[in-house]
Parts: sequence; structure tokens; C-alpha cells
Amino acid sequence: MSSKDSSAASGWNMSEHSALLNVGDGAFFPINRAALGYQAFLESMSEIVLRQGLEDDIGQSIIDFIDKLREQLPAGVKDCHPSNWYVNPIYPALLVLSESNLKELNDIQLATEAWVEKGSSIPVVGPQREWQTTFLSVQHDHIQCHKAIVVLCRHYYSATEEALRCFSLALAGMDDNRKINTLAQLYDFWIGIAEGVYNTTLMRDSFSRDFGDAVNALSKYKKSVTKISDMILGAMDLPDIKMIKNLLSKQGDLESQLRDLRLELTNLRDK
Amino acid sequence: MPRLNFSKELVMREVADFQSRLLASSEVRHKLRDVSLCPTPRSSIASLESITLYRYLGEPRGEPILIIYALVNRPDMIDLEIGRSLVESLLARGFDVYLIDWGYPSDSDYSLSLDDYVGGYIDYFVDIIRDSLGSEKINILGVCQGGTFSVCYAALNPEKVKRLITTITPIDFDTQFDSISHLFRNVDINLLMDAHINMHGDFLNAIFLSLKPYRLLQQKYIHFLENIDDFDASATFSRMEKWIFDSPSVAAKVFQEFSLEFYQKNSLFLGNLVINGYKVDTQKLTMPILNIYAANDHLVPPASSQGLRSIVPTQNYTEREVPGGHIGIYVSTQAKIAVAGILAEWLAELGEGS
Repeated sequence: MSSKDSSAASGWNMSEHSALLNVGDGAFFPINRAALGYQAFLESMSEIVLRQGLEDDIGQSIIDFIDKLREQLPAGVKDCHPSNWYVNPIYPALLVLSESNLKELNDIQLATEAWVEKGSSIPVVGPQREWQTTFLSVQHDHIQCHKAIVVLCRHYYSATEEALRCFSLALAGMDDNRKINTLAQLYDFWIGIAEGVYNTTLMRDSFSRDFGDAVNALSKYKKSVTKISDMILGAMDLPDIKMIKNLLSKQGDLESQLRDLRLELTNLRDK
Repeated sequence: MPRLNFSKELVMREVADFQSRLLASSEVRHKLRDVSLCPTPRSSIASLESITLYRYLGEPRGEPILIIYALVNRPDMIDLEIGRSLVESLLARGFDVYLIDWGYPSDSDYSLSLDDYVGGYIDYFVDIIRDSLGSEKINILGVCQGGTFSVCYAALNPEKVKRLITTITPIDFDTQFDSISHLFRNVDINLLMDAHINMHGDFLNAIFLSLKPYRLLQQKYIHFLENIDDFDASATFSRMEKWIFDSPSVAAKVFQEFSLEFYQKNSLFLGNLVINGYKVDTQKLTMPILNIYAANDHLVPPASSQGLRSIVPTQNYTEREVPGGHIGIYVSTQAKIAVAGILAEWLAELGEGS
């Protein structure tokens, strides 16, 4: 449910009271993002509370809302704003919350891969061969990198879905000793559950494998880009990464020798 | 049915209250831009390239204690502010406190190795302190990865270390709840470092934050806004934020070695670690050892720190658990009595004072 729809339904117009437009970036850049998410939480939950009649069960209404949210996840990527409170904070911009979106990305990747493969079948002759093969390997590495990140994002998607499910179950199963009187307490309750689910996801062997694959793919892609950058810079007779690394290495060796000489000098002076 | 007791009036008030706090935060955040850390006066007594040995100013001067911090963050956290400072607490207990500040490695430092840090810089500064004080041995207190370095150093140079104190220090990198080890298990470290010059602090910071994203990227900022009326609490928060996001790069070679040898091969714990051709034999750690760890440490699980017990001679080994998380044992309101207090108690048990 978008913020506009929910506020119109309740008669409580959040945007009129929003302080976010007037808040500067300040020293803490993540604070605005967190505040946006929390505001969305307050908006969702307050809208439910304000809609309740005297006989209605607020708790059950919230549970129903969360269940509906979870059911809408597979199709809801276009409606799922990065600032929504239940979105995993790690990838708010790279939002792949729906299977259909993942499939769409996968289809794009397959099409791109086919295009690259087709390109690589063109005979390469003469001095352009190294350029073409290097360019193709950059394209290939980019595709692999993207694939690996999409695979990793599936974990974030499933963790988000599971977190909402556990939140709903936890609310339904709360005992008499636990009372939640404010939206802030409800939010903290949600955070505890979401963090627990996330930690379980993170500690799976499959996550470790896919995380490793994503980091390795990123590294390989970066190396490919560096190689082609060096080729371009070398062609223009400009310093390239390889040259810089050589210079840094020599500088490091000299500093190491200087350090040893300094120590030797100190020892000789002490004698 | 769930016990959710919401009244419409209170909910509306709560939402309006959040909005006004958010508005007020702009001015508070502006005032907090210039909060400073490290209030305890100190002087630089030696430096090597960009690395500096500091001595904290204070009287009287008791036993020397050298603090060795990790490479992945700035050491400012142990002297965050008055009242939340390990350094302040140690000075108050009469210690003569020193700190190695690793500085900000530049690209030219990318070939600095484990041996350069452990066998080079630490040894150099330990000798300076020993020579200046005429002491044969000094006390070493390691923090986190600095504790791991301290263990390696003391095992290679036991004749120079009087007592070894390790805090929130990873030793066994293959324990059940070690999320960092788990994440890096399938990372090709050689490929990673081949693609970079140094390991950027921002990347490492992102990894640490990603271990608890809901709390560290969302909830803590909401709590900050909820307490915006308390300027002192806001200032403390601001100092922590400044420290968290002031992450230096780590030299490529030492990052590569540490990741491979410790996180992936667990060489120190398994007794296979060799630095510059010398085996790090932890059975040579015959000096008194105090190992302090945090009960709720998600970065260095208690079992990882407790691994030290298994690999050192046990007659002089003591361990203590402190409530709190990885950073909390240093910056919480109980911090001043936590680490320094335990240290003082331990020395009393040994029959030695500072």
C-alpha cells in the first residue's frame, strides 16, 4: 500500500506532517534513510490503529496486514519502495524482491550472454585480436558478476519474506507477560525478529558460498576492467596500474631497507 | 491473541512526536558536527613512516602498558570521551600508558606484511619503551586484531613481555558463530587482493555493518532520534559514528596474510603459523596472561577468544567475561570499571600492583 493511499484512507495525512523535507543531510548520511523507513512503519501501523472500531482487535488487524504484505511480495516489486520499513537495509537500491523480477533479470542476462557469444564467433585476425578478446572477456566477467549478485539477492528476498512470516507468528503467539504499548516498541520487536531471521540466513552454507561467488566475480570483473584500462593507457603512453604497482613495490622495498638501516644505525650508536 | 495496547490518541501523539524530533535533529546534528574524540592528552615519542608511538600524559607513572590496536579501525574508540575511556581508567589506576597508532596506510604501504607489523613496528616500539624506561619487559594490552598481533609478538619475543592482556581478541577462527569467518570461507583472497592495491576501509566497514543491518543501519538511528533531547547522549552517539566511519585502508599484503592464515587456515590456533620463517609457538607464552572477552560479541564470538586457553600454558592463564558487545565493553557507561577494573583485580590476585 503506498503512503499516499494509506494516509488518504485514514484521513491522517502524513505528508503534511513530514519533517523529512526540511532535514538536511547532516553528519550522518544513513539517518535519513532510516528515518524514511521508520516513518513508513509509523504510517502503516498508525493507519491500522486509527481505522479500528471499538470492538476490533488491533493485534489481529496488524497480523492480517503483515500477512497481506508477505503475500504481495512476489508481485510487488514495482510498488515496493526502497524506503519501506520491511525492506532489507543492505540492498534498498538493488531491490529484487520478486521472483518475476529475478526471472526478468535472468532473461536479460541470457540474452546478453547470447549476444556476447555471437560476437565472439566473429573471426578475429591481426593486431585487433587482443583488443577484441579482452573486450569480450570484460563483457563475460560483467555478466558473471551480475549473475552472482542476483543469486545473492535471492537470499535477501527469502530473508525478507521469512522475517515478515516470523513477525506475524510472533505477534500471534505473544504471551501475557509481553505488552507492546507503543509503535516504537512494536518496531523494536520487529527489528529483533528481522535481525534473527537475517542472521540465520547469513549463517547458511549456501549464503557463504554465494557471497564468496559474488565477491570473487566482482574481483574478476575488476581485474578485467583494469586490464583493458591498462591497454588503453599503454596505447596512449600514459602510466597504467601495472606501472604504478611496480613503482609502489619498489618504494616499499626502499622503505623497508631504510627501516633496517635505521635500526642498524641505532644499534651501532647504542654500542 | 497478541497483547497490543494502542490508544488512538497516543499513537497520533507518538507519530507527531517523531516528526518534531526529526525536525529538531537537524539543528542538533549541526551542533554535533565538530564533536571531538580522544580527550586524554598525549605526546608522540617516536614514529616510523606514518606509524606513531604515543605516551599518555598523567602522573604518577606506574608500570608501562602498551596498547596495540587492530588495523581495521582507528584506536580512538579506547579514548572516546571523558568517562568512556580505557586510557583514562588505566591512567587513573597509575599505569604509564602507551599506544601504537597505525595511522592511515597509503598505497605505497601495500606491501607491508604481517612480519613488518609484528616483527618490525611492534618490536621497534617495544624496544623504545624498554630503553627509555630501562625495563627489561613491559606489559602489552591487545585489542581485537591487535590482541592477535600481541599474542604472535609475545610468542616470538617472550623475553620482552612481562604480562599479556588480550581483549575481544580472535584466536580460534573456526567456531560455530563466527560470522566473518563464515562469510570469508569461500572468498578467493588472492584474487581479491590482486584486484586491489589496498583493502579499502569502506569495504571492510560495509562487511561489519552487513552482519547486523537492521540494528546498525536502521534501529540505532531511530533510537538516536528518540533521544535527541539528551545532548550528551547525542554527542556520545556522534563520536561513535565518527569513529565507525573513519576506517583506514589496510595494507594489501597484511590483509591477504591475515585473511588466509587466520580466517581461512586458522594457523595460529592449529599451531602452524610461521612469520618470517619463525614458528609462532604459543607454548612460549609463559608470562601471566589475562584474556577478556565480551559475552555478546557478534564479531569475535566468546568461543573464538576462549580458544587462547587451549593453546597456552595454563598455569598463568586467566580469562574473564564481560557483559556487552564487541565495542560496548569499552564505550558503555560501565566501561570504566570493566576492562581496567578487571585488570586491577587480576594484578592484585597476582600479588602485583601497577
